[in-house]
Amino acid sequence: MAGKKVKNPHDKRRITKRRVSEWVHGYLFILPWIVGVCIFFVYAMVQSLRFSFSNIVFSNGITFNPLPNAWDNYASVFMKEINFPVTLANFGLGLVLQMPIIIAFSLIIALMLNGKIHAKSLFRMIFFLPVIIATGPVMQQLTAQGVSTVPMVSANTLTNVLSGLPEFIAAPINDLFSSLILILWNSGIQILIFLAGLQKVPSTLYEAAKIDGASGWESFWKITLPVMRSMILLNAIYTVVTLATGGDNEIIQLIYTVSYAATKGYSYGAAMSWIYTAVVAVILLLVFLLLREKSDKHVKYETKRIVQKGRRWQA
Amino acid sequence: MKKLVALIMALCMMASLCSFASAEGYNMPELNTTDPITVTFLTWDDFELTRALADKFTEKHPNITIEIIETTTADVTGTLNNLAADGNLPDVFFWLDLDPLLANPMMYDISKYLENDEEAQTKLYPGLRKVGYVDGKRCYFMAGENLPATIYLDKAVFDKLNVELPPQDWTWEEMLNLIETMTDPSQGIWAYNYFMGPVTLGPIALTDNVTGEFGWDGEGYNFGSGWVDMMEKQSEYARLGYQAINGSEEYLAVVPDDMWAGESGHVAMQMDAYWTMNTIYTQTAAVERGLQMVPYNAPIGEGVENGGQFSWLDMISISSTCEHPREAYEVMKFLTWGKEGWMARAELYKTLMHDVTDPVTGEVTQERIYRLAGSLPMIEDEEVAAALSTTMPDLGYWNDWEAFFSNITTPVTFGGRTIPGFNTFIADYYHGSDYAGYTGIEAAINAGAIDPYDYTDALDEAGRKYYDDAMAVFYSVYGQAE
Repeated sequence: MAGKKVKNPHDKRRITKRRVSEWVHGYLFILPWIVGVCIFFVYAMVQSLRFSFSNIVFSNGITFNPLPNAWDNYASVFMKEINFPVTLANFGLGLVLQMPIIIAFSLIIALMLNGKIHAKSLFRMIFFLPVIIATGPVMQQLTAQGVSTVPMVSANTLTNVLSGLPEFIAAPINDLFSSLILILWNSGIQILIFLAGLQKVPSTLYEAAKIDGASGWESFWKITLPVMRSMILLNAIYTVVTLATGGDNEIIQLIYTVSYAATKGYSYGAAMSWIYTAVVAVILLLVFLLLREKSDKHVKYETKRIVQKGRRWQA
Repeated sequence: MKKLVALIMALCMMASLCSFASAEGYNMPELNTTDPITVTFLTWDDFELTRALADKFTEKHPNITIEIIETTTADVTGTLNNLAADGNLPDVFFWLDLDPLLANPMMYDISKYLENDEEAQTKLYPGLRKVGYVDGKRCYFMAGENLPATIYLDKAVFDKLNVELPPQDWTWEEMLNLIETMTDPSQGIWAYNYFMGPVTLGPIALTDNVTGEFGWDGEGYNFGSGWVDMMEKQSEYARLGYQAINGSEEYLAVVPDDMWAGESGHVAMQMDAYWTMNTIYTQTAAVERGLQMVPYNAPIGEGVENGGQFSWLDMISISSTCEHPREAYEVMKFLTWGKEGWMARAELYKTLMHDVTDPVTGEVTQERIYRLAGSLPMIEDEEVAAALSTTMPDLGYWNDWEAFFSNITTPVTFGGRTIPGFNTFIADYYHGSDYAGYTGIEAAINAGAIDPYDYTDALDEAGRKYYDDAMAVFYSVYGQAE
């Protein structure tokens, strides 16, 4: 005889009033964001996609002239744009060099700010301040005045050191040192994210580890880092997106330039930007695969086991 | 009877004068409408002045109201595209880059107005009468603002070295001679520093019948004329220590705070822009530091026929969607290069005031918004030059502004504003291609990796190809001239 089916309280598919209410409230909270994204992002993206598959002309409105072949603009980018692959490769190399530095620096600063120090709030503000003030023209002025470079590292010394390397490797390294301060300045958001993550780590874990004789170093590797893994992923994605969309990004400058060239134009620029978007998406996917939580399967198995045990007990 | 004969003779004279004028071909069409209309005008600069000039224009043409649309140089290209995409292109608009306008039919052909405008054909600087003829037959734009390259000679430094200042109509060779002789390390004096250097100014100053950058003469580039020599000279001047280089060990030894060389008082000649006189050299800090900067035009080479002087010319067009182009032409003329507008402008430079609060006492006083003319005329007219001179500050050590004005009559501007395909040529080929392992030809030359003489023909050829490609786009969008 089949027993009465017991409703699993953990079943996510189960719709309750409370759950509906939570959904409604949740979506209401993010409604302004959704509306904003639809108006200013989704619409613009769809327009940009349309641009890339036609030849558009601005005058008294936009005229969409069909192309002989819908993919012509995309093909032209690969066949005509001599600087694009090189700039793209430089961007990728720059990303590989810059991202770990930003993540490591942010984590170290967040760990320090999370410790027991005086004037903690003041230090937090200082590290976040560049994110607010050093934008647009301010950043351009600061960069122009050499603020972004490390004072102890002279450009000539660096050039001499790197002279043995091929230019495509030496150039990103040179760029890295010439904008090192700037990179570190761009770490404000990442520091905040890490800080939020660190504050959620239960202190009992550290206390238990301490009782078991773990040193601070061991606690960092065995507790802090594993717990922060999801935050590292989040920050890595945030960093890739920030670096890929920054105003001083060479590819964006190139897209801007070709969009205003007589022989290329907006449609060509739109195609180039979609290719760039695809490349960034691939990079994001790689970052995700590299840094994602690999214990998901284990968690699912454990959850399933507990649920089954509960059912047996009820039966 | 005598009165009748005199009257007939007078009538005959008037008739002959009229026929003479007609023979000259100045048959400017009348204004099209007396109905109230609004002309929209997009600009990025001098909003108070533009507003005041627009009001003066409306006093003269009460049926025409000018609506000013403000933008910035950074935003203007995007703004124009957005307005065009929205079907709201301004009737008259300043712009920075020619290429996007060639690919999108935004400009109106103003040839019939320009060619029948006596003032334009007799007073406008000759080079500026032709600057907007994209295909040689149709004129789509004019120069709307003129900010010439200005070379400042520091009289205090010249006095220190017992060297006389050259005449205002100096030559390119005289300038180079000064660069090569004025450096005196024992007194911590460098001959020169530049914002726009010999490589930019030289090809324009040393090419016959030049109309654009790198010796462009309307048909092609002339990299062999001026550019190649000046590339070498510019590198040589830096290498030999004639140029004050901010941040260099030699400079820091004399100017430890690394103050901008052009303001340091240690440079005899600063190759710069007209506006630096306003933003730096007439400011209290520079005056108190003893700088006595005398402005000079960018000189032309000896024996060069119709050479040019580099200038930041901001171009202006009437839109292809403008409903009243004849009226828009008058607006454009009055607000940019026309004599009437310039006479009004000279007055406004002196009378437009704003409140200035003393930071210490809090006392509010009225000061001129424009310490000196914001831009310079584009017409040869003694009355305008004289009126404008009265708006300029008396520097004490020098006050010959009329001589300065009379020597800046052949402005030639950036290629990107006048030569189709120029920006792409520069981005892709000049700065973007590989030259002996270096990206960009200037980087390769400065590193001593290549000899510029070997590349002049290739540059001329490539530049012409980019021009032809851009012109093909232009013809496909604007059609062929009838």
